[in-house]
Amino acid sequence: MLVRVGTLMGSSIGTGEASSWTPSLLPNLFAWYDAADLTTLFQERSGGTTPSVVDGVVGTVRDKSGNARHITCSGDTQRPLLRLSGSSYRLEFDGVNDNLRTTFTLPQPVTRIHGFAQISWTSTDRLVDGGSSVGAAVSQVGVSPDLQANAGAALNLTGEFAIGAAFILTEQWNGASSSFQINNETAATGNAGTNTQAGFTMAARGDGATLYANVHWYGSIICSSILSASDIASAKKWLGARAGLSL
Amino acid sequence: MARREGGVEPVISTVLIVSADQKVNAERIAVALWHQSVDGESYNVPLSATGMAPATHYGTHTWATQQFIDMLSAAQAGESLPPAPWGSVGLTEADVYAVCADLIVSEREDGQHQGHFDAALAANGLSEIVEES
Repeated sequence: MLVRVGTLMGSSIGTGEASSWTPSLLPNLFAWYDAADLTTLFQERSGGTTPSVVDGVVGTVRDKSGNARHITCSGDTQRPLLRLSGSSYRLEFDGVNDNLRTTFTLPQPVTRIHGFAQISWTSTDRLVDGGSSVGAAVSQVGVSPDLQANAGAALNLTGEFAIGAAFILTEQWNGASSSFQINNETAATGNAGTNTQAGFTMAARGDGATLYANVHWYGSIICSSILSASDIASAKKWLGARAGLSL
Repeated sequence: MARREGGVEPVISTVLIVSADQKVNAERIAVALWHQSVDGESYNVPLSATGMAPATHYGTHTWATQQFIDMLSAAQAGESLPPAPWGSVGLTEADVYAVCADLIVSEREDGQHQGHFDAALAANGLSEIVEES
């Protein structure tokens, strides 16, 4: 990769690459949420006319994929806050009742890539889920700070995701051939179930009603296929830069 | 200490707890006051002294402005209510004052908010009723 001296390397915060790579280049891009793109964050839960500000509430995160799968919540008290830590923007979910979600139908195989930092750990709280109470969840299960993926079958995740530390979670939901990776560590592979994802829920059970996680979220990328190793590497590097990670 | 940008008013970590028999009217206040959808829910965390159903109270955590806190204080003191279409959601001013008088309110500065909800529950002898996953 050529690097031109003096050339501005990317136009948005922390792209992590000298090229103009963005998740929009991924095949089968289904949804894309970016906490660092302030033009997609709004205080209202519908309508979305007032931009969110740092240390202010976020009622809507608009989908950047072009598919209009925007995420919101059912009550004003359930809105997370927008935070800025160094140069990294992230949404802070309070673990009480904050969540953002939308519904759609998305059968496996699916690739989801997220940027997270766990603020605290409570058994069974869900970092991410589908759109119903029976979905594709990554939950705080086992012993802090352990996680578990479950779309009908449980697959335990181990890795370096200590409380407070940012990490990139790459999920490949593909029945018995599923794979879950933390940053660039060895992936956990095997059967995580075959549930169709009925949507996308951040920081709560898929119906948005309970199991609220206390977590920082940098963004998510969802594709309706299993991505190539090259595409995954690019996406992880891009989202990792958002979280202040060099992957 | 929370960051402030461009003169933005700081938000206050606010825990609100309402008795179960006031929940319906509390949600109606949310519809009238901050345009919550009719099927939306603000007080969605079920609580009881034992942590077991049935819920005796419902709680929520939100980020409020000082203006909201001042408005709530005035309502709890029976002094005044903000202008809102109470009748359109089936409430009288007496209903709204009753909810406010019942409401348990706890505030903390942003930056001191971690564990606020749990502390407010403990201070009021309540526990969250957690539904099994």
